[in-house]
Amino acid sequence: MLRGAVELVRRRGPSAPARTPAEIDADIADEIASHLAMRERSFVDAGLDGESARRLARHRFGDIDRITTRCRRIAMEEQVMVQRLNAVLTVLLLVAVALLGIQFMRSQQATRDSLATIDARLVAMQGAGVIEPTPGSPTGKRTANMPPAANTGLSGFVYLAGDVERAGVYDLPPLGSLTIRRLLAAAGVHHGPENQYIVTIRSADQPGQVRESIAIGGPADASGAVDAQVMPGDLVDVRRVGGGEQVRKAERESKAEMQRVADLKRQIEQVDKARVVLAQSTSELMDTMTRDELQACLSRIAEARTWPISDPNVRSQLTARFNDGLRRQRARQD
Amino acid sequence: MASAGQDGLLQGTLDMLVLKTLAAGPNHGFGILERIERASKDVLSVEEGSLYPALHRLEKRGYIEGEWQRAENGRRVRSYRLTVNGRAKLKLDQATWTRVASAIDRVMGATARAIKPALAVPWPEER
Repeated sequence: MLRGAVELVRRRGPSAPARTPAEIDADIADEIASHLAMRERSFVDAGLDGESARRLARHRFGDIDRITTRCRRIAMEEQVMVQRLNAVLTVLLLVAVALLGIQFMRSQQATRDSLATIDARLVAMQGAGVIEPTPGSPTGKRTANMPPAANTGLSGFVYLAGDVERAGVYDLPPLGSLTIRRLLAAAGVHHGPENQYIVTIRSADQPGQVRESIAIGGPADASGAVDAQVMPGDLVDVRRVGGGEQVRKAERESKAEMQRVADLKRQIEQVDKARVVLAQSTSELMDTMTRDELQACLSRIAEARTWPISDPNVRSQLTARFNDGLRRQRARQD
Repeated sequence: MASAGQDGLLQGTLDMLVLKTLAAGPNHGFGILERIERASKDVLSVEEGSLYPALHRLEKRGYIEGEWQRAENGRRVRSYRLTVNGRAKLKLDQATWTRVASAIDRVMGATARAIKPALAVPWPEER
């Protein structure tokens, strides 16, 4: 076949026009017709009549259909060869594509197998304490989605938040299971009859929906029987009952109250300073006032209803000062 | 009269005869037939229809080249001429043919010489 194709290319050359089957048939028919016409004329020239000459010419020529078929087959040989060559090349191409596809799939499968083997070894090494998983690392993410490995329990991480000392990411133990009580113990939560916590668990695939909610601690949890298992990817939220938010609210209110007290102290200091200045000014002023003016001021002080004169202490101090001013004036007149 | 047009019979010989005829000059199928018959003094008579597959085969192989011409009566006539490859092929075939023919001739001559003594014995009637 290959040799035939090479021969075909060698023979065709650059300018060999390809004829259609209809053109080939027309050429063959014309060539045979011209031959029969020339032979017929030679017989007529030899003395035969037209009909006999035509019949004899066809007889000597032979089976026209058979000759035509042979000539057509020779003419079409090249096109048949090209068609066969195209068919073979197409088949070869399809086979090559199929082989490449199979090779690609095998390669993918081998890669998956290798990754699974590596993951299994990593999990085993984590279980043996040889290495620690890094939260957020590719290995950690992948193990979180893997099915449980044999004899190692569930693998993955849980996320703890809320009223706990050590919120963060916790990995599941390689052996046994992780429960809420163990997780709270690891996070430094001291629950007891006085400290009750409400723990809500949300699954990784449905973070907007509470999968489980349990109360840990408090008077009703004396037996400690209530617990829940944590799964890979769980979001665990811990809220202290009677504490937590209320404490923070009280702290906020306390701070505001302290701020108000500080402001009041500052105002009182300012008032005291103003009193000293007022006292000095009042003494100097009283020395320039007449007796009637001092008596009028005493009457105004006794009748004043506005703060700070209305304050009894201030009123008594002012009254004492003005009386003292009257005495000093009487002494100067005497 | 020998027939050179039977399938499988003297096919290579027919190709050689065609090439030899075209070596004298371009011609169409009918003219090639006439030349062969005339040159062989009507000893070789080719079945006319079988000439055309031979012509087309030789043309496909590049030994001859065909060209359409217009006859006096307006009919299309295909004329063939020998190519360079055809001339080389003719030379090769002719040498082969000569070698084979002489070999056959030698065989036939030797056979005739071996038979001749037996034939030399007179028939009983001649005695």
